[in-house]
Amino acid sequence: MRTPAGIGASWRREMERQAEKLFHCVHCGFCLPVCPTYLRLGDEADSPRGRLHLMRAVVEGRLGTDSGSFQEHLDLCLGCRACESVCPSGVEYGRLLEGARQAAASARPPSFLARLLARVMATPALAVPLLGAARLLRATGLPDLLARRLPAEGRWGVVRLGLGMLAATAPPDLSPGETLYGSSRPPSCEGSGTGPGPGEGGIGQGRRVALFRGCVQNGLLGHVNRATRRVLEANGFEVVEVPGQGCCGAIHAHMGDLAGARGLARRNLEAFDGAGLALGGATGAGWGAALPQHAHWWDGGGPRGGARGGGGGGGLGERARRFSERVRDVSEVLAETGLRRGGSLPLSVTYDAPCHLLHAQGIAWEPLRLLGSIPDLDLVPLPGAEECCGGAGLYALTHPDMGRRIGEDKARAVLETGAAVVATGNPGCMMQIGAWLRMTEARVAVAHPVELLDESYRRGGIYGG
Amino acid sequence: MGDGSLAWEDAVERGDLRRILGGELSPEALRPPGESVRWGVAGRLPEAVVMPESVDEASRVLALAHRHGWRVHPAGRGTWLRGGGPRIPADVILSTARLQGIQDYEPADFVASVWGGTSLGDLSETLAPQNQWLPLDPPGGRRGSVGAMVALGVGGGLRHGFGGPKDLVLGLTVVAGDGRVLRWGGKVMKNVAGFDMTRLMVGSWGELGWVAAVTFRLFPSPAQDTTLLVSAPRAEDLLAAVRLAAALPVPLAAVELLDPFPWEPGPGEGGAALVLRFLGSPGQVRATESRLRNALPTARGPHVPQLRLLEGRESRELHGVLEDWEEGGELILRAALLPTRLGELLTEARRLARLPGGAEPPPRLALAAHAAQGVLRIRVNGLPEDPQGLGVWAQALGEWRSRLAQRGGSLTAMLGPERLFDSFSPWEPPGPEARLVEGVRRLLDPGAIFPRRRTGA
Amino acid sequence: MNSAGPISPSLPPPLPEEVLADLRRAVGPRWVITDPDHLLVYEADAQTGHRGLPQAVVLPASTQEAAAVFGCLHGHGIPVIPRGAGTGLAGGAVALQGGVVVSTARMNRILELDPDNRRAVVQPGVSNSRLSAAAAAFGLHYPPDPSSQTACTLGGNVATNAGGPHCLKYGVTGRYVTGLKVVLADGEVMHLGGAGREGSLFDFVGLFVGSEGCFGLAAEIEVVLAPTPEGACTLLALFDTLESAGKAVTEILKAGLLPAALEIVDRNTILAVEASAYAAGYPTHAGAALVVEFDGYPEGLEEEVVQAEERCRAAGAWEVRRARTPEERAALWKGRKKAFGAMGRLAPDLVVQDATVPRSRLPEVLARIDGIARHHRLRIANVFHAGDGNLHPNIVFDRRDADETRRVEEAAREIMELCVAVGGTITGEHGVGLEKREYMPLVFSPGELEVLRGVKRVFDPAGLCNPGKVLPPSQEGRGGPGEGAPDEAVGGGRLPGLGGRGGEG
Repeated sequence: MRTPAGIGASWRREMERQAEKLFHCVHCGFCLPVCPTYLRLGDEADSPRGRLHLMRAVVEGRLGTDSGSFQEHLDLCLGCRACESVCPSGVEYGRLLEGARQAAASARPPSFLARLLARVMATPALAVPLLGAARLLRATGLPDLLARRLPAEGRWGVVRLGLGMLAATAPPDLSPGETLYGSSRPPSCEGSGTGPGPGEGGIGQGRRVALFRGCVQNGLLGHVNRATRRVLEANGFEVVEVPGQGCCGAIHAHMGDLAGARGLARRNLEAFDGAGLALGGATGAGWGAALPQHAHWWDGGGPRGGARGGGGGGGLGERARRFSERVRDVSEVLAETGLRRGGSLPLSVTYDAPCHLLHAQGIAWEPLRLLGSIPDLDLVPLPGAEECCGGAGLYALTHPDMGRRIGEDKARAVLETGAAVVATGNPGCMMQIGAWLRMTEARVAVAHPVELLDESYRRGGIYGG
Repeated sequence: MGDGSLAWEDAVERGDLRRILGGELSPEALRPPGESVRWGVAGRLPEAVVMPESVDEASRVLALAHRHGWRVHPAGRGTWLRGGGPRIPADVILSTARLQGIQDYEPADFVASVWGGTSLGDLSETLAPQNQWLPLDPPGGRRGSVGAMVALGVGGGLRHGFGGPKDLVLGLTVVAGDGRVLRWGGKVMKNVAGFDMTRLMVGSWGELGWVAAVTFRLFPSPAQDTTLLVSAPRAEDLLAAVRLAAALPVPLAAVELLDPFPWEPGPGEGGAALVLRFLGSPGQVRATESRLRNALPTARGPHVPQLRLLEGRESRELHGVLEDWEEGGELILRAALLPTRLGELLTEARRLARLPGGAEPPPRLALAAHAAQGVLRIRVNGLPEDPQGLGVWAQALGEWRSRLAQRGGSLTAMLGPERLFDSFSPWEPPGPEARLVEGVRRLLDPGAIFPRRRTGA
Repeated sequence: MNSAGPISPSLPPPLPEEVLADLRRAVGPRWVITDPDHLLVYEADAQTGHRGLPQAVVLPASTQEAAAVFGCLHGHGIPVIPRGAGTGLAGGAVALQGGVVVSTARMNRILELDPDNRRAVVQPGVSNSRLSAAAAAFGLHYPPDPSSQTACTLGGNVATNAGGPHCLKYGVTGRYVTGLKVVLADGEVMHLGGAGREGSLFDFVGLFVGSEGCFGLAAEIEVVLAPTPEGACTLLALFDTLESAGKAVTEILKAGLLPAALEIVDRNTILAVEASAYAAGYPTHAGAALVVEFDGYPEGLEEEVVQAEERCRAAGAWEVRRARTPEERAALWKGRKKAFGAMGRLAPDLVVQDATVPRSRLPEVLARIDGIARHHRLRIANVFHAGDGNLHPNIVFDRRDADETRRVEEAAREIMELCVAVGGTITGEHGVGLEKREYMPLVFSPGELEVLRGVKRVFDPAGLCNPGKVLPPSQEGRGGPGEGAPDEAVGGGRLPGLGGRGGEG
């Protein structure tokens, strides 16, 4: 029994409460071949089964939370949850991981960079001006240039990656240029809006949707939020602004800072609850996965489990659950109701599934359906689309080596499809894939699926332009 | 290894053997009636041909032989005794000829256990009324014993569709070189208990034990037995058709290439033929035929292949003839390379007929390939009889073997004249695995009473 | 493991520094694991009932590196335990007496893919599915398909001579391995067999397949690939009783039909699956469900399928569903393939048994297994490869209940004895490993076991390769250091004959 007292012990009690879930793991190893770190390292300890085994050893008192191996191998996990999709026993790996990371963090705090970024994101007074400055920097075109020029090795690697990520947030060039027609064919002359127009009786039947803006997304990918709004309205939804919303806390939970995550979640609950909405719409898979988890940040049960108010959240657990049940990804919202057909967008597009959309929320076909509805869009399958891109929140920055290996593999797979655009529905993935495409000198645009639909609507004259 | 003939003179030992077998022991007395098999090995008759009637008798004979150091040659019905030289003279031939019949057959299990001396033909007759069969067609076919077939481990064309004896033997009872009775495998389809001794025994040429009984995996008799003959002047003209046939999405039962084609009436004009056999449900057989008919014309070489379809009895008859293909050959060689290099095998084999300094008239070659496996059998008749002429052959074969080995291939002689083998070993000498070879021999034949052909010892 | 969890292997002594230095030189320091906390994850394979901590884990990337590792360990008399993906269900990759686990996880390259000769050469860490996926571009596939095929490695398949549902028609691993480059216990690299060769001396390739790592490491594996059938049709037939499902199997085969697969799940399994998240739509009032699959040319399948349907109905099937598209087929297979995961939710622990009996004895054996279950007040669910007579009786239980655990052990042994008594064997595809060692005398005489020990000595005279596996401890204490291992050896703990939970092989 080398477990230190304090949070480690309380986490152990928490894990013991969840022991049955942990023990659901039958050790079959089906998760190994889908785990990005195991695939690249081959070490059992860097596989989901191995990490669960380590967690279990802690629960059994055979390992301390301060164990270097426990720390290191849990830390190297991307949290992509691909393992959950293939687990025959339904082990809730993602939740167990968050708990374990909380324990690990109590024994050894996360890196300075991670804590700094988490702090900034959680503090609008810092985040807003910083992101504004980043936009200005992006506009100079310098990040794009430097990402392609700076050396890949050594201390410049992280800087290069950061600049690449920043450059990747620029609005994609979907204009009819060399990637489209190879000529100066005039835009928006094709197709026309079909199906019902906006308003009552339309596709969305006037349902109200509140957009979750996200912090990075709002700061750097505002064009995605604007496109989402246009597309939803074009489909007859009423989009409501929710003031007072902020960071979703996913990054904090990832780092093992559950208390910080709870605080942020509480702020969002209050903001959205007050708005009394029918539906919460998310355009980022990361927080789309995090928002439904708000519930268990307060209690030990799942979103449908009983509220036990473990963390002193009291009634917040129940509110969180009600809120969780209403959260949808934007592709889900549109796929549920069906959508209007836009104008021709003759682009070759490949789709990379964000892990937190596919594995955490089980949303596989909705984005494909959204893309498939766009006239003349050529959807090229991406081999390994279900594998993580290596972005994983702050992972690419905090684990530059592994993040790079995974990112380069993803960029290579995208290039091999020959597609002009890679679509993916999460800011982290857009930034990671965009950065590595830049750093491999590739000229492939990165776009949110909604942006492509938006462009199609624009060309189809649905926005009346 | 003791001097067998001396030991054999010992009346006490003769008495021991008699007590085990309870009968006369002269070779004549023990020769099975009505069969004109030659029991001579290496030009010498053994002191005795012993034919035990039970596993227990065989065990006691081998224990005795082990004690006295007699050289024992395991045998079945004598059909294949000439094979596998160089032959080592034997003191005793231990034959399964009187250990015959079905031991256990449960049709619902698709499994049959038979005594080692049972002929493949007899086994087939037992199985046929139950609509079952054993898809094995070794050279020499139905006359040979199942024990010998397993010891040789050789299959025929059907290996393409069903695998060879290794894949169809589920279990074995063998008697080791000191009389231990060992049962490997079992009567079930899947069995991974212990190491796979069955596979080691199959194809070990009786060097690791005497095969007393065999359990086979059986198959439902095919509803349809159809053969498509594709003919052309020479085997080389049919290589494109071979590639096509081997790549069909549903494997054929056999893909055999023969030059010259040995069956009358022949397939049409031309001397060579590709024999494509397909077995199975009428629907699958029809589909296979139509695929082949559509695809084969695209596989044309310099000659347009001619097609002829044989069904049912005609097809079976042809395959009976093919089983006897090795009969009457003076020298039978098996050369192998990867399947796509079959053309090289054909070219190189044909050179044997025109060896510089070779005999006049040149020896006659016949070629038969398990084409999809890249295995070419070469039957040679009219070999030179003088030592010099044989020497030329031995040298040429030795060189060919090393050239094949460089390409990952092999060359073995299944049968041939004694004097050829003085300077050309029918088997490849063991490479680095010699230590394993010696190890398993010591384990299963500690007194070294069985022949050790492959090291010539 | 909770309160009653007996399993916490003690820490074996660390390796001498000079050995570690040699190992690090051989594979690079990053790939030699010695931290005791880290080693914990290597204490078990998919059968967590058997545990033991290795002294180190080494991950070589090439044959050369593996040979250097084996050579080094042999020189110091240290046992070596080969390990693939750790999906084995018999404890075959557990370090029973300390020693060094050599993981093939980094030896994961397809070295050669030769579609024209329908063959491939792979490193042992390549997963079964990955080889088939790579071959698919050429219309080929690798036929043996263990249920763990996405994870399990070809090296592991070679070690256990793995099977799978489609082995009924296509045969098991042994039929497809044509050549091996092996690293023997002393580090010697030996090339055995080869696809272009005929008439090898003895079939050491065949002997090596299924040797469960006791002879050495298969460092390069040459396999033949098979053309992928163009079409397939799957039937799901529902019966009131297991017996009538068994009868349908016999009738289908007697009719001369050779399906690609014939699989049965029993009522307990159906109930478990339908109660789980994997509900496959099997009616819960069915006593047994039979999955029949035919493959071949699509236009030629109809008559076989119709005949099989007729036979099923004649045997008492009250419903036969038919699936042709990949999606429909996947749906029919779901109840069969997800059975183990579903059962994993019934109780904390599960024993996956594996035995083969003659097909005609299936109904009787199943009835008697039911009797054993009732006698011991246990819940047993059956899933099996009916065409092969390969049974997987699964016993769900709670290890924390000592009395129930004891009853499970007794029932497991009785099932083994029953299967052997009717002419069957103790393992059809999972292997012996540690799990079935004690049952080996049920199927082998002392003399035969002595020969098996001798064969191991031929490959591994010092007894350092995966010691203590497959062979039961010899009474006379003969053999090298690898044999005669006591049940409670250094660093090892086990529940006799009692597996942990796991997927299916």
